[in-house]
Amino acid sequence: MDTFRSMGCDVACEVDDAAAVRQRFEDRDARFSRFRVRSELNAVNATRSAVVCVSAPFADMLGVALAAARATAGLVTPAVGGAVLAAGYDRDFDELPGDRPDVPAPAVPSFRSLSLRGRLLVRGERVLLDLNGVVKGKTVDDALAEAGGGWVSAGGDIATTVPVRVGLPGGETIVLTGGGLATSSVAVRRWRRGGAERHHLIDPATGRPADSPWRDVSAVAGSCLAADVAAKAALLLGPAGPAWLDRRGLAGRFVTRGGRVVVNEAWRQSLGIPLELAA
Amino acid sequence: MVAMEQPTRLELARQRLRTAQLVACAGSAAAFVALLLAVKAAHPAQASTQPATGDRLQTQDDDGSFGSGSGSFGPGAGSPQLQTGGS
Repeated sequence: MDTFRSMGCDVACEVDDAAAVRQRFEDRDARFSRFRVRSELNAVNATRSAVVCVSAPFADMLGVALAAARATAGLVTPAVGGAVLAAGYDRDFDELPGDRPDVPAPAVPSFRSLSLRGRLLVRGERVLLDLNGVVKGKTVDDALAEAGGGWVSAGGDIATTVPVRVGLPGGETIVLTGGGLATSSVAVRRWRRGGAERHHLIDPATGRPADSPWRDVSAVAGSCLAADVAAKAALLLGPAGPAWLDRRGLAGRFVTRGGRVVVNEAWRQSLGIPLELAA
Repeated sequence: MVAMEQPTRLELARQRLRTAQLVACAGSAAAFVALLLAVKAAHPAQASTQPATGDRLQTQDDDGSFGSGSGSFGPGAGSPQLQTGGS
């Protein structure tokens, strides 16, 4: 197993070409990081022009982010950059200072104010982009595809072509035999702002860190990207999250802030859990 | 009895020209207005008048095709190789 740090998390993989995985992560982090001064993301966000010509890889990733926004009715949106900054997540997590005064949450622009025409990004209003909702999951999938098989994990978001035993929040273990598994959590990447705890999952409806009953949401899907987007959306949807995943045929496991585990119907069926034990 | 003054051929030609100019001008104005409306409707800012909360309310409109396909998993035993839950 090879391990390294990238995108602010531990990356691990068991593949034939680990160097290719590392290079893919490094390239993506250099282009899409909010915390690298020379990243293309920061260059785009600094441009006030309504029309910007971006690189082909940037356009591809933004296209993925917009697809995720459409798939989740705007819950997982690339337009949350301003809200994330206002919440206080304005530097690498390890460098965040102690408590600072709160600032009003800005309205999150609709993702529909963004459109792509090839490499031309058109912004109908001032939008600060944050592509973290999709970059990590997509990079896990792409790195695994380029490596030709095995498994890749970034901060516990996994894509695999071989069976791998995965520990879940709360202590259970499953064997992931194909596709992707991701967990979104409000228990990690927390900081204080205005005397209150904050986390990185922004509710686009309020522009503030989401007030969800779920502490952790794990989802299994055909890819790490799809699992990650699904887990984020389900967490943001709160009580409606389990049924939302079921309607899409995706398995989800939810842990409340009190530690109680709830699984949706698709998860229950995958593990063969008796109905009376699933609630 | 005074005979009615007939317009000359030159005056008739001028009248036809003025009419043609008027029609052309009106047509251009209509085309310009139609173009303006089309551009306005196509501009991405037009959709942005809807607040982000509107996106959320339209849960019936979301595109469920994203990430279609499901992963496969089953019960596990023994110590895990990986831990999920760190992001």
